[in-house]
Amino acid sequence: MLKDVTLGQYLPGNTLLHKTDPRMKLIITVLFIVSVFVASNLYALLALLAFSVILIFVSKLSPKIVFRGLKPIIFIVIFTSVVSIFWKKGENLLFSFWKIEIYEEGIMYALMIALRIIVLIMGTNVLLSYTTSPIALTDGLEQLLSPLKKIKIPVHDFSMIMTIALRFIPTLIEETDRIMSAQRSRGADFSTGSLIKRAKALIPIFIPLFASLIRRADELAVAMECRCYVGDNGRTSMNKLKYSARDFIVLFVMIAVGVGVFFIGKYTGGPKF
Amino acid sequence: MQNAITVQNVTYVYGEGTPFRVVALDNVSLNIEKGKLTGIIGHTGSGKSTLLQMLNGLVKPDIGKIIVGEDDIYSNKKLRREAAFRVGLVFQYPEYQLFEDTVRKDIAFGPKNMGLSDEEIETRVKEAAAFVGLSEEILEKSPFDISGGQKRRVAIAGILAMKPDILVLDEPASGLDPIGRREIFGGLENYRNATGTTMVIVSHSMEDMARYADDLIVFENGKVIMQGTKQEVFAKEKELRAIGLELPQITRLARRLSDMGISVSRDIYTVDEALDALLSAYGGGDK
Amino acid sequence: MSYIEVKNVSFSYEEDSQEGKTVLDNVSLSIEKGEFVAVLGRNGSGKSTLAKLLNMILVPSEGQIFIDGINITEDVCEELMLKVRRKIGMVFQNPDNQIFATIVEEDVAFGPENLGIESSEIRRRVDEALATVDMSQYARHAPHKLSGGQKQRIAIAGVLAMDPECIIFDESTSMLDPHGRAEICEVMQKLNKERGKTIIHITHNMDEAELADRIIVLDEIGIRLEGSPKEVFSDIKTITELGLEAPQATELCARLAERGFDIPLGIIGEESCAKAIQEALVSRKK
Repeated sequence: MLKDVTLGQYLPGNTLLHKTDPRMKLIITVLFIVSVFVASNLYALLALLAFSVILIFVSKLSPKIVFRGLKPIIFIVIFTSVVSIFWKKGENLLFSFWKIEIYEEGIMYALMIALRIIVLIMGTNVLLSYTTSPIALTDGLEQLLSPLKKIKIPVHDFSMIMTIALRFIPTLIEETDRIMSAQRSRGADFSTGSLIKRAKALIPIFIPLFASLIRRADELAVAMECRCYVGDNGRTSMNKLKYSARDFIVLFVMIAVGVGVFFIGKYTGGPKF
Repeated sequence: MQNAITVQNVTYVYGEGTPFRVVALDNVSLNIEKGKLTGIIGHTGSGKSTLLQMLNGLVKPDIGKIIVGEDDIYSNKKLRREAAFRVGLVFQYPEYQLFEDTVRKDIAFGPKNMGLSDEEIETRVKEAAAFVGLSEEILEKSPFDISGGQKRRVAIAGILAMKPDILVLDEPASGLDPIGRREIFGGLENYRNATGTTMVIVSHSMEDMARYADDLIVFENGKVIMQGTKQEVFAKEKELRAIGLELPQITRLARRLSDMGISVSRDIYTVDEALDALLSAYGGGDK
Repeated sequence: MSYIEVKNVSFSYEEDSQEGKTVLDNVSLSIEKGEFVAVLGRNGSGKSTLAKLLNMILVPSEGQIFIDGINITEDVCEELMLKVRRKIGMVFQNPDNQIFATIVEEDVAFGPENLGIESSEIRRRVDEALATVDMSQYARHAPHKLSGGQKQRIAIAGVLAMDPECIIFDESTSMLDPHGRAEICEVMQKLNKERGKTIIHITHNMDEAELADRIIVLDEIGIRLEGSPKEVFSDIKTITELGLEAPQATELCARLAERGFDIPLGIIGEESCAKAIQEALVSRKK
């Protein structure tokens, strides 16, 4: 059942990463992503993997949950690895059969691609999704991007849209579940028959769902207006974000790791991609 | 008495293995007697809604059996799917599931899924609409263009038209005004009188339970804590109050009067009953 | 002039397909500051429309409305709307559709943030509002996991944080279970008695209307009954005619009185009713 899905991956806690200013976390996440692409060989990537594992322990996350978070990308990892094993040509032929040739470089390349994707997802999950509440994230994003308001980019509106989406996703999942159950108890069948038949079977779900969405949007808009919402005009904020010394230490660590990864890639051997 | 539904030692847990683990039903056993109207009372989140969805094949118990008639409905796929037709389930706020462009088509959705002939569907739609007091004229309207109370009745008619052996309703009158409530319960009573269908109704309204139910089942925190006839359950006034359930005001008034030495039954459930009791004991007044 | 003055107000929704539907026809009423008023009526009797008119979500087709001496039906502009909405807060029916934030206290802070209040003052107001509705321990929770009654209390806190003079509850109890209803009624009384807030409670539940100082019963053609709960409940006939139900004990007394028993009209509460019935029976025996 859909109800079993836990939405929003945030896992509350009180660790260094949890307490870091969301704006700073966005910045270090960007740095982390840059590092992943700067890491030019296997050793550099392994160093980043080690760093991510340390982050998991520092933020007291259960490794099980972090690994579960990698599940959705398993397919991509396997697919890209397999493709690169078969396609990447090199000098050291390991194995050939009919038209298929597998090179050492191919395997290395596959390994690095797999590692790169895994480190990328794991790291950003730990830095952002698991340790930052969605609202802190939107807040951080809004304040980080607020200079863009000067060039008339509606940063506030985007952040409001995101907040509302985050708030209503669980509600809509529940509602979809309810409507599906209700139609199923009227004998609707969503799981058998041809593709067209199945697509048609979704009409009894989508129409009520859209009707409900429109109703909700309408009511929410009125409720927000009643609380004097007129967009960004003259708004203040209860939680003004402030950087603390801790945030700069975290930033420093991230920069150090990034620079470290760069030099490891530069001065150690092995193929570089 | 024959049982329409037997629930045997059913347990159900949400989110097993996560920090959000909730035991929705905890070793629940109960019987629904054939032909009776059984009321289910309990707070929101006491597991009632999960139980209702189990009765018609939507949610499989983690442990335990649901027996409809003679069949354990989760013992095979065919029985489970059939349960949707044998046990008609009306969800809370069912008007939010209407989707067709006319009321007629919407009521016909269930019967169509049952694979009935067009003539049969047409008769069933008409019958069902009549039971809940929907006119021919409304049948041609869009279900999005009618009043809230009418929408609710359309949704209920959609289930009635499937002619289930057992009709299960979750808060059928919630959010409606007194006339809306009476229209819904009146329609259900008509249907029950005409067909003798077994009914299970979840309601927060002790007044409605008092007025319409034969048997009562009380849930608290995923457990059945009382079950029996209305009289038996309402006799446990103190225990009910302890979990925040008050008897209807008229029943409390009758009991208070009886305590004061006035000859009136302790099992009074409606204003009409109270009036009759007092008039027959103390004379019809000057009129 | 009273705090709220509604003078000969009419309102009709314009619909493309059908002729405009009139929901309020020449309605006049006034509400004093600090009063607790229940507005009763069937679904579709224009109760919610009336509420929306007071808060400038809708503008009347005809007539005038004054809030605290300000004519809100003239020179309608954003500035005026904000002014009125600071004075009159509104709690709606569906608890799910009025909370937009993913954390309780963020939602409560929304109103004061819109008013441009300074951070530390917002913090103070949010804490106070949550304490008033007894939800302080849920400040950092996600709203969608709370019960209906709790969500409504959050919605009330959100309105309270704007410090309005008057709060309208637009069928705010109708989707709640009895427990949730009781919670909200308790908060309403507290706000009225302890904070001096003017409360307008729109409902079709008579037991809840009993808590008010004054009841106004609306139907399609306007105000049908008005007065203290006692006065309104004395007129069982009109109440039934309008499709409403008086509390059961009150109804029994009225019907006994109709049959010639010597019972005064409009008795509220089972204890007083029991006493009145006993006295009537005793006097009859003599």
